[in-house]
Amino acid sequence: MAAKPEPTQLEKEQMFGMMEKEMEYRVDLFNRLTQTCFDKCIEKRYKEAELNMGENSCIDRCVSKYWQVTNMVGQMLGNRPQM
Amino acid sequence: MDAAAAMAAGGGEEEEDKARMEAVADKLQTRDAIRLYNWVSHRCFSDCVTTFYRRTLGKKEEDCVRSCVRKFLLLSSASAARFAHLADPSSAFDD
Repeated sequence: MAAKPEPTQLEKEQMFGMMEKEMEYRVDLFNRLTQTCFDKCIEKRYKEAELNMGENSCIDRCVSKYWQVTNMVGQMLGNRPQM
Repeated sequence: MDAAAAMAAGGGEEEEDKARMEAVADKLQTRDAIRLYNWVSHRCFSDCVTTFYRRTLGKKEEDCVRSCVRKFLLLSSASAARFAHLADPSSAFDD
């Protein structure tokens, strides 16, 4: 009548390592996505301080496409599973 | 007594794990904030400051930088909303 064993210290360290890497990956992905879409969607003249309609539409589409591309490349390279 | 000790130990371990995850998230957040500051500073400077006749920013340059930063913050909010939906399709989101 043994209860489920507690994870060993090594197992716990491995879990933490994986979680940290996952968090880092997600943060870096968001950063790259944001910077790329800023570059592609925002007019460089900065005439007004609000996003115009075209810029807003572009951001929405850019984020979605960037997401698709990173997933496709990841799968083709065999690096990451579908998020 | 053993059961109580085990519960206390378990609780302690859970608290420790939670604190550790929070420390990791906090470290990432700090690193991220520094990177953001550096990137936005570089980008807005590059786009807004193109002449160097004067040592201080002119009105146009200052307004340009303010608009540049604000647009980045707005884009970041919009991107975060879309990103959250893509990462977790079950969450409510108006398409």
